[in-house]
Formats: sequence, C-alpha cells, structure tokens
Amino acid sequence: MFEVLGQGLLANLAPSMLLLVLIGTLSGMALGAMPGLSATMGVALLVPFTFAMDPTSGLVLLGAFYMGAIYGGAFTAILVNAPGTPSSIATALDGYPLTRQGRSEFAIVGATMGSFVGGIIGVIALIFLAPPLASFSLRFGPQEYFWVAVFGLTIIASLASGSLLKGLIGGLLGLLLATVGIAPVGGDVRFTFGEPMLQGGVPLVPALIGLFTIPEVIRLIALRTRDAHMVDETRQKDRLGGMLKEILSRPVNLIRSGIIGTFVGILPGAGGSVANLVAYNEAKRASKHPETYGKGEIDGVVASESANNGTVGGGFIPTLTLGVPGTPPDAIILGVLLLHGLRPGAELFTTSGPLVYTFIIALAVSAVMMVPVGLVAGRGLQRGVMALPVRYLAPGITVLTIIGAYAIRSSVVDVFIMLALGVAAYLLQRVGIGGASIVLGLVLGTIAETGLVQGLLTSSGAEMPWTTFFTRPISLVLIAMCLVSILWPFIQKRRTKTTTADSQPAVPASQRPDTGEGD
Amino acid sequence: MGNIIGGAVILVVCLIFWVQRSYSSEYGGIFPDAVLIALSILGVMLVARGVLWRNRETGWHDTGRLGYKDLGRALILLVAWVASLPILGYLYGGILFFTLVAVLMRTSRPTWKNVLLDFGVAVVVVVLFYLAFTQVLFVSLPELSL
Repeated sequence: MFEVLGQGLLANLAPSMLLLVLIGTLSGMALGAMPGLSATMGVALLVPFTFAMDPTSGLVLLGAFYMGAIYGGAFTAILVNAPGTPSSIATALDGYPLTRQGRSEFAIVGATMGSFVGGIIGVIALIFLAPPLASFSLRFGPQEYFWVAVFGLTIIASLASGSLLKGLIGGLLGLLLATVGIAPVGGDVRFTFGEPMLQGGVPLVPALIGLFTIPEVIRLIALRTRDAHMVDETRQKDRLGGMLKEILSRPVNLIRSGIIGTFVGILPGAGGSVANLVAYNEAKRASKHPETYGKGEIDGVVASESANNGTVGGGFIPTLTLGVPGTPPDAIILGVLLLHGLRPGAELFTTSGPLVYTFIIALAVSAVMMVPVGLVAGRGLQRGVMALPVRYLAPGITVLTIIGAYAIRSSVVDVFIMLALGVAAYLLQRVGIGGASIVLGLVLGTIAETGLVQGLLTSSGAEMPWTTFFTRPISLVLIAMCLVSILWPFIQKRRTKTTTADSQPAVPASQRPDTGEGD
Repeated sequence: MGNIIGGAVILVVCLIFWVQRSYSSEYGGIFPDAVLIALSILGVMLVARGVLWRNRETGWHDTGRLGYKDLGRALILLVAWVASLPILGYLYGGILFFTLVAVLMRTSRPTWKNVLLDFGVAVVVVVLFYLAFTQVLFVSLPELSL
C-alpha cells in the first residue's frame, strides 16, 4: 500500500496536478460561498468538463472542487448569516455573532483551520481505515438511522439555552415542515395546500436562507444605517499569529469534530448537514463555558467546519470500497468512476491503486491549499463585506438570497417560500423561538421518518415491530448517547448552580431581571 | 403576552395542518400525526405558561425589537421585490428594488446625485450576478414577462 501511496504523492507534486488542485479548490470555494449553489450542484456542473481529461486528472479536479465547496459555505455563513451549503448551518450559529462583534476575521481563520484539520482527518481515515469502517457502516439499519436522527434532534436541548419548551416547539415546527410533500416511504402526498411545487417538499436551501438570512435583512433594512452594526469598529484588529495560536491551542475540539465528521460521512445519506450539527453539539457539551455558544464562540465555528470537511474523506470510504455513496457529491463522483470503467470495491485499491491513491492524496493537498487560499481570499472577502456601506449590503444580500432560493429548482415559488419562512422566523424570534431549532427539525425530519417507517416495515413480521428500535445493539448505544445528550445540559446547569451557590449568596427569584426566555 | 400569542399561533398552525390530513398508505400518517400531536401539546403548554407566569416573564424576546413603521417599511420592500419577480424578472426588478432599498436606507434626505450613485451601484451588482449565474454557471434566472 505504501508503495502506491508514494506514487500518488509523487503524482500530486507535479506542477500540472498542483495547478489542477488549486483551480478545483478555488472554484469550489467560490461556488460554495454562494447561497443556493450546493457542493452537489457544483460537482454535477463540473462533470462535463472532466470528460476531456484523463480519469486521474478528472477525479482529482472533482475531489478538490468538492473539498473547496464544503469549505466555501463557511464564508457567507460567517459574513452575512447565509450558510452557503447545508453543511455550514452550525457555522452560522457562532460565526455570524462573531461578525457582529467585529471578529469576522477570527471566525474565517477558525473555519479555515477547522476545515484543514477535518479534511486531513477524513483523508487519513480513508487511507488507513476504509475497509473495516465501510463494513461497520453496513450494520446500520433503518432503526439505527432513526436513532441517529433523534440524536441529532437532541441538540435542541443545548441549542435552546434560553427556553427548552420554545426550542422543542421550533424543532417540531421543523419536523412538521419536513413532512410537507411526498412521503419518503409510501408516497403519500401530504400538506401541499394544492401547490404542485410543494410535492417535492419544503426545499432545504431556500428554507435555510429564509430562516437565517431574511430576519437579518429585515433588521438591517428597518434599522437603516444609523443603528445597523455589522462590525464593532472600536475593536482592535486581531493579529493572524495570535488568532492561529488561539485556535490551535484547543486541538481536542479540532480533532474530535474531524473524527465525528468522518464517521457521519461514512453513513450513507447523513453527510455534512448532519455532521456539523452533531460536532457543534459535542463541542458545546464538552466545553467548560457552554453558555458562550451561540453568542460568538470560535470553538463552535471550528467544530462545525472541521466536521463538514471530515465528511469529504469519510464519505469516500463506502463510495470507494462498497460502491455506496456516503454523501450526494460522492454519488456523482461514483458515476464518474463507473464512466471510466472503474468498479468500486476492495479490488479498486489494488487494480487501480495509483489512480485511487493519487485521488486520495489530492484531497489532502486540497485541504492543505485551503489554508493559504482561504486565509488570503477569505480575509479579503471579509474585508470587502465589512467595508461595504449597510445601505448596499442589505440589498446585496437580498439579491444573493433571491438567486440562492431560485437556483435550486428554477422556481419563483421557492423564493416565495424563502420569504414566507423568513418573515415567520423573524416573528417567531420575537416570541423566543429561534430559527436554528426549526432548521434542525427540517434537516433531520426526513431521515427520522424514513428510519421509523422502514424500521416498522422491515420488522412487520414481528409480534411488536416497534420493539426492534430498542433491542438492536447499535440502537442501544445510540439511545444511550441520546439520553446523555438530553440530560447533559441539565447536569451542567445543576453543576454551575451548585458552584455558584457555594461561591456567592443566592439572589431571590423576585429580584432577577425578566428576559422572557428563562425556565 | 408573548407566550400566549406564540402558543396560539402554534395551535392555529397545527389546526391548519390537521384539517389537511389525507393519508393513502398505512404508515403515511404515523410521523406527521405524532409531530402534530406533540406540537399541539407544547402549544397548549406555552399558552398555559403565558397565563400562569404572566407576572414572571413577558414572553417577548428582548433582542432585535423594531418599531412598527420601520418593520413595515422593510416588509413592504421585501414582499414587493419578491412579488415583482414573475413580472419584472430578476434583472429589472433587482435594479429597481436595489436602488429603492439603498435610497430608503439613507438617513438624510437623498439628493439626485445620491440616487444616481445608488442606481449605478445597483446596476453593477445586479448585472454582475446576472452574468455570473446565467453566462458562467448556466443557471437561469427569472426574466421580464411584460
């Protein structure tokens, strides 16, 4: 293996190959930064261009593009609260608050380092652990996927730091939105209100843009220049070295999130949109100061970005070893492999070793290139956005949101859905129901329902089919993880209360300020 | 009051979805019905909380509160922009509403020079995105249909 690995490394050091990786990474970043254009769409758009290339160059270009696109989604998530791809949902949760504190550059650096480490961890797993991890992922049945989705939903307990009741309402609203359209199993047409476009469900990207970005655009337009602060200009500029030192001083978060991303990437159908949320939750749970999450915590940005780039390498594990794509872009790249007569499986690594390892090493080279390219281009973009007067920024973001919502299905209905959800999100925010928990429900709803119904169908021969959700070994592990995830914020709260009570006298409830969000 | 209004809105949403229920397969309604029932229960809990804790919390989130006039202006502009898409298309609607938003966001009375500057910026931004998407990425955008 090491011999072909060396050959792959040498092939990647050729100037033409380095240039190809650079082009792929850069164009992927640019596309990923545009809300509405997902990595899947970008990889699909690029496929025809690779027909004229030899298989190795084509695959290298696609791999680098994919890696760059997943990273690029962080830019708009951080700068204008519009996640470029669903993989950057959790990045916006802390990235945008950092921008509002005037620390967007810090967030960009955090996202870059997170993406780099996550990308490398995914590639290492792909090189050394591909066969055993791929066969383990095949042991996940519908019941396990149901529990994976429930585990993702338990994040609401930590996202809703203000009011758990309102967080749960938001999550259930998201789940309800996820049931709109044709049912994933059975094909029932549900809650379409007579609109044929809704048969495809509530589209994720327009919903993301609406729930996260439109409330912010409303705020900017309503407050106008005098009160709308995108940056704290009084804050001193951070130095790059200091920022890097601060981010790298907490390697556990970087590595843990990369591993989570890699593992979630291996599970077919899960991908970056789930991985970034799970890693964010774990980072918050492990943090000594979880109350800072959602208010501009760099570890939140790092966790999300490390995880979503980890899914790139992770997703290729079942793709290359079993022919089962881990994520949607993997499915397209799998198609390109087949087009060139390459059959996935253990034999692929022996019969086409040089090609496969050149491709894998190119993913690592792309992850490395993201650092200089991201730090230069990302910080340049950040400075450009920050220098823009708010009266141009607000309509500029609106232009992007319209394009982003429209581009997925070339449908004006999607733009209406985006605006309606955005206005609803703004009004729900007023009563303390945040957009993040709605998005969580929307992302995980289909996975949860598919797992639930398929699990019931596959065990319909059993006396009590639903018991299979509680008897399988991996399900039991996942249930235990769900319980820990739900109970952890309460345990942490209790610990903090005990510590506070020990150190200072208690304040009577009647003297506490009313924030309208406590319970 | 915020909790009562929020809870009531949730219950209305549940009611709207409940009357739309029409399942043709055995398992088609398991998940949405469970979600609807759980959401209704939580909606009732939120209303109850608003009634029982009315002296303890307002139920309104205290960040991002806007005046009705400012909020109304922002909503009218956004709704009009999106509603104009099927008629004016992305390009003409974009230039018109980009300019309008930029002019209305000025805090002092805009001069003709200001309006021209805002119009120029609108043309550059909107056309740039239009060309990038339609000519480079081959993504179609809504066109003028007058």
